[in-house]
Amino acid sequence: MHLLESFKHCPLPKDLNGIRFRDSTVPFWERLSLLIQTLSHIVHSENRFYPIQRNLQVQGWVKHFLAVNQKNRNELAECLLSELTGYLETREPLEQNIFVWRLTGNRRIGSTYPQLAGELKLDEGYIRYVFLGTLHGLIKASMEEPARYSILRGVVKDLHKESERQLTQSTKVTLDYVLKGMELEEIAGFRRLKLNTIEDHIVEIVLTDSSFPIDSYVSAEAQQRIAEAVKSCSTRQLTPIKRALEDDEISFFQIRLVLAKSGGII
Amino acid sequence: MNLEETLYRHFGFSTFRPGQKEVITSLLEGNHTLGMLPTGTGKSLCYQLPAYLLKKHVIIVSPLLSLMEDQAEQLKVRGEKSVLALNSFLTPRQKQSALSQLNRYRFIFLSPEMLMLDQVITEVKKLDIGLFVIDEAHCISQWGYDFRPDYLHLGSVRERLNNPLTVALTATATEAVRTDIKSKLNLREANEVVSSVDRSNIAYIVENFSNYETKLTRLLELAKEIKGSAIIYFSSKKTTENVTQYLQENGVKSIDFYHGGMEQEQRKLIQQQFITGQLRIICATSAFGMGVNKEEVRAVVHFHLPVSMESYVQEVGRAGRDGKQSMAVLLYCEGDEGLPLRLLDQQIPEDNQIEGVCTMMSEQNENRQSPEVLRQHYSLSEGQWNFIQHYVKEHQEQVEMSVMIEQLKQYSKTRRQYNINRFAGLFNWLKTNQCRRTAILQYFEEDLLKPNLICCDRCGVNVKELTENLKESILNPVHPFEWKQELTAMLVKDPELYEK
Ligand SMILES: Nc1ncnc2c1ncn2[C@@H]1O[C@H](COP(=O)(O)OP(=O)(O)OP(=O)(O)O)[C@@H](O)[C@H]1O
Ligand SMILES: [Mg+2]
Ligand SMILES: [Zn+2]
Repeated sequence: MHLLESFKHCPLPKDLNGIRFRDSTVPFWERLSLLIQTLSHIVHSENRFYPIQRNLQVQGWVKHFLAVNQKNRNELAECLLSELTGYLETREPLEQNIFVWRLTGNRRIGSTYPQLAGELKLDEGYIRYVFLGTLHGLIKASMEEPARYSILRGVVKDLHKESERQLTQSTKVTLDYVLKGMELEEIAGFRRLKLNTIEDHIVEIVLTDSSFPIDSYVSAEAQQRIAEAVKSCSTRQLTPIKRALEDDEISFFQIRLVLAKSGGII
Repeated sequence: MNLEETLYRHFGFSTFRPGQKEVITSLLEGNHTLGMLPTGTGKSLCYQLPAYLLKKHVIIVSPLLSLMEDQAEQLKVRGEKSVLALNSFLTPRQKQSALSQLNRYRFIFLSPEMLMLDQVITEVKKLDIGLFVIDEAHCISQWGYDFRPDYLHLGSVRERLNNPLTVALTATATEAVRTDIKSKLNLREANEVVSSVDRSNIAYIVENFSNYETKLTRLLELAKEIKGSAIIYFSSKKTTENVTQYLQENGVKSIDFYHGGMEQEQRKLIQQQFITGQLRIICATSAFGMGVNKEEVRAVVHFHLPVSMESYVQEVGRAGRDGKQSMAVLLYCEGDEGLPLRLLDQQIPEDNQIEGVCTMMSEQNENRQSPEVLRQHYSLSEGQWNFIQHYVKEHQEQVEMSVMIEQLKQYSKTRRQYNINRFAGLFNWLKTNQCRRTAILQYFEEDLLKPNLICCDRCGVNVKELTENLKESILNPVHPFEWKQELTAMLVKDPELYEK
């Protein structure tokens, strides 16, 4: 509660877009922070350091990225610097400092969230929020202006594909509308598509991203009951589940959503 | 080339530390070896150096994932590329790919759980194993500190791997525990290299308080007084955080906390800040320490009592790895023994929990409850749950449930008593009028070799004198610059020359 309280007095960061970038934010940060740490050491001719990111996949990615990159290391570091500076200059001072102080270089290990909170005399939750917004903006910028952010673009490229790759084009459009806060009926009307089709899109989105929130389409209580019905029928076929529910208020769409969200485990 | 030359060539050290050469020689002569070397003096070298001479694969079993990662990382940072840590941190895909190319690696770290998988054994078996290393080998003994049931299988694992040359390493094992280690590993004929547990460069000091407030005030004073790096150990996460805040608010700089409840990235940052000296003091639970190799820690302070003499010796062993004078300060306030006793108790299940869980576990399918439900229903701690799980797994096929329940109750009772006795070992040490160093050695059944000039509070040493004599330079605090300058300094060698 106190977290929300403190947010009242602090503006929400622009570009915060958790649903869209949820899957790519963390790996993006892991890659970028390790790339910067690595370049920082190389540039200062220090070749031994403890990688700040432990994930072997991320370490492998950085190695690969440096191996295939044509530029010499100093040039690469300077380009990255100018891309980051260029982007950060468009942001609020608070964001600029939080972002840079989170980074680890050869001289200094990055700050933790509580340390930043102490330093900046702000709520830790708010710091996390602001930081996330900066990352989202950075991802967005590098996707929208690949020419200007060529190195950052390389960091995000395959990540973003990963999370939205599986969605069909039409579903992506629906997702964009959903994220703008439109109701399913509205989207159907607007796009001159059947409601059924839009519902299919939503199920598809939930199938590719099980953390996508479905509460606005099925109440928590209904989700609970559907899950129980699925368990008791020990089937994933819709008709017997619907029959077992003995409730006309619950639609096939809602059952499908719960099934999709459970990813097969109920 | 003699061993000293090899040491210098690969590690840059010119002399061995006590015990190292003996263990290595014994191994190179082809003998299974149990090495007991004091904390922080270089057990890793006992398997790393032979690896370069044997030119075969070295398998290392470590009890803790974080420890294993840290050790693998330290090898890599030293420039050794051929290192693999195979553990449950890896994704299934990474695991598969690592397994299929095991023979590319010189050092292969494995968790004991991994070694219980047939597929892993099959792959490891294909290797020409030069050395099989069991680090923190006391974990195999129920009577050692930090018993890990998974370690018990290592004896049969060794057999399945056709008895490779084996070295078991530990810092804290009484003679009974050493015998147990050898028997569990089927290494009855192994050589033993036992150096003293004594860390001669650590002075032991106990200070007594009559209430919490005075103890806390004293900690504040210490935090300001101690020069150089220090670790302050706590037994509870909450207190770790609260006391850190108290110290920060009262003017202690470059101090922060670390415990197992923190996110991985935040933990890593704190650990690195401490290692690089950006943080001077770290307040931590025992989750911090193992595997963290910082050479110049000048003091280890205990705000709470450890659960045994062994844990105490391990924890204070984080001090003075560079060999320079350091100290261990334990702050004791009457009644402090309640916390460790409670913590120990929470590791062992109660009779009614045993009955309930076992009965429900033996139910037929339809009434069977998920482990989570069972745990919650009987409010079992993780330790209690593992305790029961492990016992049932090992004995289920041998006896009927009702018999097993009785046996398990009996076993719990024995363990509980055993834990209390062990804590008593520490508590007696705390209350002793004797020299603390002598008393530690007595606990490990050793005689004190030669008197130590800077010994312990009973021998007349105090913190004030000690700190006055420490030649420690004050660390310069590392402040971040304003963002643009900071970023430029990070990525450009000569920021002065850099023009946008
Ligand atoms: N012969 C040597 N000369 C100088 N330094 C050494 C020597 N051998 C090891 N060291 C250093 O001692 C430190 C501790 O080594 P290591 O981590 O192997 O200790 P350990 O006995 O395994 O400690 P722990 O009790 O924590 O398991 C390392 O920094 C290592 O480089
Ligand atoms: Mg060790
Ligand atoms: Zn003494």
